[in-house]
Amino acid sequence: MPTNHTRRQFVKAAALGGVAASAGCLSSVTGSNSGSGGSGEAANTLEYWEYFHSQSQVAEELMKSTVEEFQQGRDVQMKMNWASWDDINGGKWKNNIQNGNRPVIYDSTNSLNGQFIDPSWVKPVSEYRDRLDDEALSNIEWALELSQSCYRGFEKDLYEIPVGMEVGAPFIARADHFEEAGLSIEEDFPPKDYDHLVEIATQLQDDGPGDYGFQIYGAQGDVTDEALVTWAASEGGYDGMYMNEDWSDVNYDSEAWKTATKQYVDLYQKHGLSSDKAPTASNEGVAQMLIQGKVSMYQGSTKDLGLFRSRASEMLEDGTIVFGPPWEGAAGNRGEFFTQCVALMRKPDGVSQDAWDQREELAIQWINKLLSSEFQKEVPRSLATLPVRRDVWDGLSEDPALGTSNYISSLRTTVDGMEHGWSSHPKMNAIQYNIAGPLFQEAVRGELAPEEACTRAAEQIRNQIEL
Amino acid sequence: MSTDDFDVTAVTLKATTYGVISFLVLFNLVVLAFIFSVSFMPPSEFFGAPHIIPQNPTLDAWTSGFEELQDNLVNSFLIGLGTTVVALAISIPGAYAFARKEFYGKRAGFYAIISAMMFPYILLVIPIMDLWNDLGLYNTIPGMIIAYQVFVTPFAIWILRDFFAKLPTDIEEAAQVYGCTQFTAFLRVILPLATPGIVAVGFLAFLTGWNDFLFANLLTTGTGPVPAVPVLYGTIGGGSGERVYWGKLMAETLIIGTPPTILYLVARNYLENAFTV
Repeated sequence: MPTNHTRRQFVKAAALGGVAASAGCLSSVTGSNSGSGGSGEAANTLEYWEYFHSQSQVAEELMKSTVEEFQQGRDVQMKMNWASWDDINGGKWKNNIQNGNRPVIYDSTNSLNGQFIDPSWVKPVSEYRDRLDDEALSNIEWALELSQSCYRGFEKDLYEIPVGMEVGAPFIARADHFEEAGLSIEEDFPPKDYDHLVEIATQLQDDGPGDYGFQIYGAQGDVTDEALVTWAASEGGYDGMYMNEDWSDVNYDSEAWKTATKQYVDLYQKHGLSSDKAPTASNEGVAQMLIQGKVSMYQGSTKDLGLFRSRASEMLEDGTIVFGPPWEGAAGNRGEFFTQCVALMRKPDGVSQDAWDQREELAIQWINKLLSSEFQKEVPRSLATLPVRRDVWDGLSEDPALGTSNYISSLRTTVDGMEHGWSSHPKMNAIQYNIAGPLFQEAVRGELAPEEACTRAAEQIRNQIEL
Repeated sequence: MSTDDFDVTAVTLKATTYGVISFLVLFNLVVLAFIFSVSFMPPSEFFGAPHIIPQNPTLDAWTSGFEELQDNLVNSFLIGLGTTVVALAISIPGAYAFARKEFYGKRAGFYAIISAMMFPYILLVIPIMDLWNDLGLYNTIPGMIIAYQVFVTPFAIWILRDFFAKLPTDIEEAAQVYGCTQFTAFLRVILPLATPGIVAVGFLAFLTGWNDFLFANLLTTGTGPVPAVPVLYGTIGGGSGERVYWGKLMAETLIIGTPPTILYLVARNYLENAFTV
């Protein structure tokens, strides 16, 4: 059977050849394994996991154009991972890093990153601080000192460089509603304390054009991390933060939290100043209600500026939407802060030290770019936080969207006297959102007494999490 | 027509059938129309009061959506195509053997393969991630193509085995009488007759590779060959809740949904034949 034998051999050879060719073609298309730290990668390739862009469309435009500019100015290829909240909180980043796929540099929000700091994957700032730009360093010194409160449970003082700071939860209001309700936006805004808030919100609701005077929000991802924690921290200092000073316990059952939560829920349940959407509303959803004129005032996020810039920039520029700092509480501050930060990672196994050093040098240049006055001037406009460089603050008020809306002046007032940052505890996601969020939402719904929500949140965290 | 000829039951049944079908079609069309409409709205409109006709239509969402997706669509196409080719290369001979050949452990082997379909594949993600990392397949298109075979191939073998089993053995024997070897009879007679089944299985394999989110998201870091669907997830905001640009989201959804729709229209006749009971 010579013919059949030859044919069989031909079919086998053709099949093997086909498989090999397919594999070869696909490999050439895909570029094979990215292996962030892979030794096969060129030293001028910088793997960067990026989160800032996900905040808003303007943030995305800023980050993409800055990356493009950085690449063009140098002989460098940025391998970008445009990441989302869930990539960081849902385990994707952690899984990848555990498996040896790690970037040289990442940016994120400090409270999400304890999971990377705890296993020593992140390089402490002290190991590369002297390589940062001197002028930038001198202008961000205050922010570096302040940020140390975020890492107080770890061995070193600082693990990430702050680029922008979200300070407290600013009041945001419609100036035209104040006027129509017979209130003065200059004198009656922002509220000076809780009683004043109830007073002006009631007048806004009764006499103003909006349906509701002050909208609270109970969405599980927002109820604990904006206005409520600002009130608690301003009254209780560390007692009003999520965790105590040495991270040995949570504080949800402190008096500061119980009082703040009761007052917060009362605005909706007792005073009727918020719409029925309160239990499920997010601060971003409320921002839209403010734009539409359904709500006259709320206490949201500094980052809502990005949203207003995308959806209602003219209302910012003509002073229709105005910002105001939170009131100063008994603890002598106007709330707490967290940072938009950038950090270097340690070299993984299997990568040559020389190649990693070269990439790290590029990463340092990138950090210097983020700290340059040009980029820092864009931070409030696009990332919607307070830039860490103090020397750019004065010039920012000239921008109508930042000046007329009182955005920059509100943030500057808020940061004065501030000392408590969100903890970068490795289990912060569960502490801040997964366990506490649903309980506080129940309180907003009226299904659970506010004090009981605080007590249960603290107990459940103690039972479920090893702090 | 006398009243005796009027079958009330049949008419009621027909009316009900058409009623249900009309409702389902309408239900889908209204949603699709809304998706289509929002994709042409500027942010000021889709964040405002709901309405169906765009007042200031714009192509911004489509252009930015396509710009963002273009590289990822190529990745999705390669993954879908690769998944199809590999699945067919494995399942056609496999299904034929299970349908026409007798060998030791045939029944047990077939059910062992089929039982893989019952396994919730979300449980496989972590072991596959570990294994793919060791093998250098993590964050690569071949890695994803091979990973999809875990659940595509058993399904393909199941469908094609029944298809081959239903084909009359006489035809194959006749071909051999006229000079074909077993292999050429398979190639020239059985395969053309099995075309509807093969197209159907190929279509479903492509759809899996094109549409999957779980493996596509977890077997890539984001810096390598990311398929289109995880990018769509990024447009939703990844759960951060800070921004959902509905216009872009709808445009990207329609862009990603178009190739499988075209493929379905092209292969419609084959698919109907394959799944006709």
